[in-house]
Amino acid sequence: MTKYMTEQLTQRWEDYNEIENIMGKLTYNEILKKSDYILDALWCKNTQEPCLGFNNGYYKGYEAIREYFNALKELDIIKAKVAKKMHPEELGGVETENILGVGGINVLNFTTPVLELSADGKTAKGLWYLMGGSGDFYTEEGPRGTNRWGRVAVDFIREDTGWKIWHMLVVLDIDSKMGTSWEAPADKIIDPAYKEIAEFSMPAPNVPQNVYELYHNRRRIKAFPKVPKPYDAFSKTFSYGI
Amino acid sequence: MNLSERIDRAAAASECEKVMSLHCLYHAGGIHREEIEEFWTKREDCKWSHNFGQMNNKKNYIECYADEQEASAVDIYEQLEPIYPEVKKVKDRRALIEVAMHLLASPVLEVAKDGQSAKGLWYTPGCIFSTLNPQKAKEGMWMWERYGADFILEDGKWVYLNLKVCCDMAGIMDAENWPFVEAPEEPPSEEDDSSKADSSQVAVGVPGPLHYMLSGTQIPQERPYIPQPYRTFEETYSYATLTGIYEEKGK
Amino acid sequence: MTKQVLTDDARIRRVWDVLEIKNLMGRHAYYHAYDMHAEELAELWVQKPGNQKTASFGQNWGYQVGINIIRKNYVDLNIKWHQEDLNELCDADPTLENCPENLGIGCMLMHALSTPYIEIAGDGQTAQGMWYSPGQVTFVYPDKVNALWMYEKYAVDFIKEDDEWKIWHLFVGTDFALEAGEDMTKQPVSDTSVDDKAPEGMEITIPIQAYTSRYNWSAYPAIPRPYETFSETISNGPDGPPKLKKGGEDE
Repeated sequence: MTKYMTEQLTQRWEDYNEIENIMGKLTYNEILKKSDYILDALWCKNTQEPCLGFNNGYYKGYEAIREYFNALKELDIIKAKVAKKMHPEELGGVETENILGVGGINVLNFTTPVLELSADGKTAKGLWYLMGGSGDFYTEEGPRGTNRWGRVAVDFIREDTGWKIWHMLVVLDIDSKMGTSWEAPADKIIDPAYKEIAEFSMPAPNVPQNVYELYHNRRRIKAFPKVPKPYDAFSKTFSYGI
Repeated sequence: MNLSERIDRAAAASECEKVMSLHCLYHAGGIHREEIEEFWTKREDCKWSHNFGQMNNKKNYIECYADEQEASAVDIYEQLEPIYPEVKKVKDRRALIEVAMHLLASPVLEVAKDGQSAKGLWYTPGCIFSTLNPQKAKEGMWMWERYGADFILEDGKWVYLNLKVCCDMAGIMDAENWPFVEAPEEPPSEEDDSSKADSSQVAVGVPGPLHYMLSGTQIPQERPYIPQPYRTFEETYSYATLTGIYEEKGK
Repeated sequence: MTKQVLTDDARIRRVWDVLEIKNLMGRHAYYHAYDMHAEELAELWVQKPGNQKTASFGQNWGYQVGINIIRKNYVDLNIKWHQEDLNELCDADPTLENCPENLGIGCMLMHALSTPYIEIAGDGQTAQGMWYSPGQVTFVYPDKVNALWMYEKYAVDFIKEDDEWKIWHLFVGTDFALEAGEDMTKQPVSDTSVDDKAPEGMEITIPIQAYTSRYNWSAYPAIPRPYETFSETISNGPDGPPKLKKGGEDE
């Protein structure tokens, strides 16, 4: 195991703290629906091939990732307009842009960290459990609470402005209505009052892939994503991107 | 900052994380008075806030968080003992009230450059549960909240100055679609409560609402504020600042 | 504990020890979820013979003591159960292949670790940690799936071996297991199934009710406090609980 000198260890602690804060800031800015901030402040700018992966594939490259975040904002706009229609007295006179995220909260709770900084201090790898949950008045089914539990694996890179997300992989085991079993998630019952929301769809990953399955009763146990181990430099370890 | 000062800040962050976890563990165990004595500032101007209001000084905090809680423990024990005589062996009866487990996730922790204070923000997807209850049934609730904490270095020890709790959603464990399910109305008490008027809740110093639960017209609330790097406590935003209705009134 | 004046190097190493222990427990959580129990024992648990002899895994129903017993249960018995379950599933569903890759099929667990509280001993040779674990476990049977929320308290003793932290005594106290969508108030108060006895076939060295949430918060395992050397603190192994000491009382 590499033995670090006092100053090196102090720097490594500061790096660890900054990275842990990135994940926390991701949580709170998602609650605030500040997807512009998340993309501009927390993701890398100058590094090749950033990647955002989910169960159904990867958004690879800056353009695809931006398209994903833009789509999230588009959905927030649609929901805000539905909210204004449903609550004309309270919200009718308010600018749509000023009420993005109305009636909902999406919480990405990160726990159970394993965070490894490379020996060369240029990259880091982290794995967290995601204990996600949302309460949202404006879904295609109407008001819905959703549990999203799974794993989040991130490669970080140090750029001039600090540590940034480089590759992020979010794989869910559970994506089910709160207060119901995830054994067999119920079919969604679309409420016509929310049809604009039902008609929206996110852009597909530009690298579609069956990365990971949601839980089902014939799903095999999969040791995925890999658990980070101490490493010297990024070239000597595996990537959470593609 | 020299190396020693940088290490001071690293050690401070580690200690503040411990203090925050200790609050959770002590609160879960109902060990409230000890928590105030061991992990809160000696200053009188500390503040604890929730959606419903702010306990705006040490005296108010002790009254609400310790005195009243201990009175509740006596009350609950007197109700439980005839039903479950085994509770006689429970050493600390405060535990019989409930377990309020406000577990911690997603930390953002910043220690001031002067090393004298720190700010932390956590999300708590927590729960409250209780096994033995007067109605002879278990109780359980989910409670999702945000914690903002101001810590200060006092006599070489990191302690709380302010704690701000913002509850976003809560509901019955594990009701279908629980954030949107109304809690059932409490049945009327079988007892004559008129003699218990004196044990009614102590008023918080500053009533709320300071934060709002999820609703169809509620926009995202930026509170507690996300800590940013800062130099001294005077330059940053205190978690004692009144929010919610006070922001709207411009107070 | 005597307050020592530590060098900068000693201070940052103690802070770093906390991070390493968090990583160690994180690894435990993922290896357990990934069904990598043999790898977990080989990489994360004590390796020196003296420590392996006293290693322990405690749960509500008692303690497994010694790494050989732990391996017998955690590795060997786990595989045996998976095979038995797979045999049953294959009998009911002939389309399902009875092969090693399908061991554990349909099972899922996630014991997240939140609210970390870690004390490094003054002598730097041991540490104690407490976490709260919001979790879920899912089991599959021929005719149904059991999807359960499982909320637990983790208390762990760690020891340094050749400059690396290792798990020495692990204690997991289950507070509740609730089927997803089940009403907590409908769970029988008298149901002590998580407390009473170990699953069939598990070898328990010291069968004892080591933990219960019947009276809500259990004072054991004890919340770690600062300590100088391991003999001064309350162990999370079988030396810890008061009722196992000579003349010890029930909690």
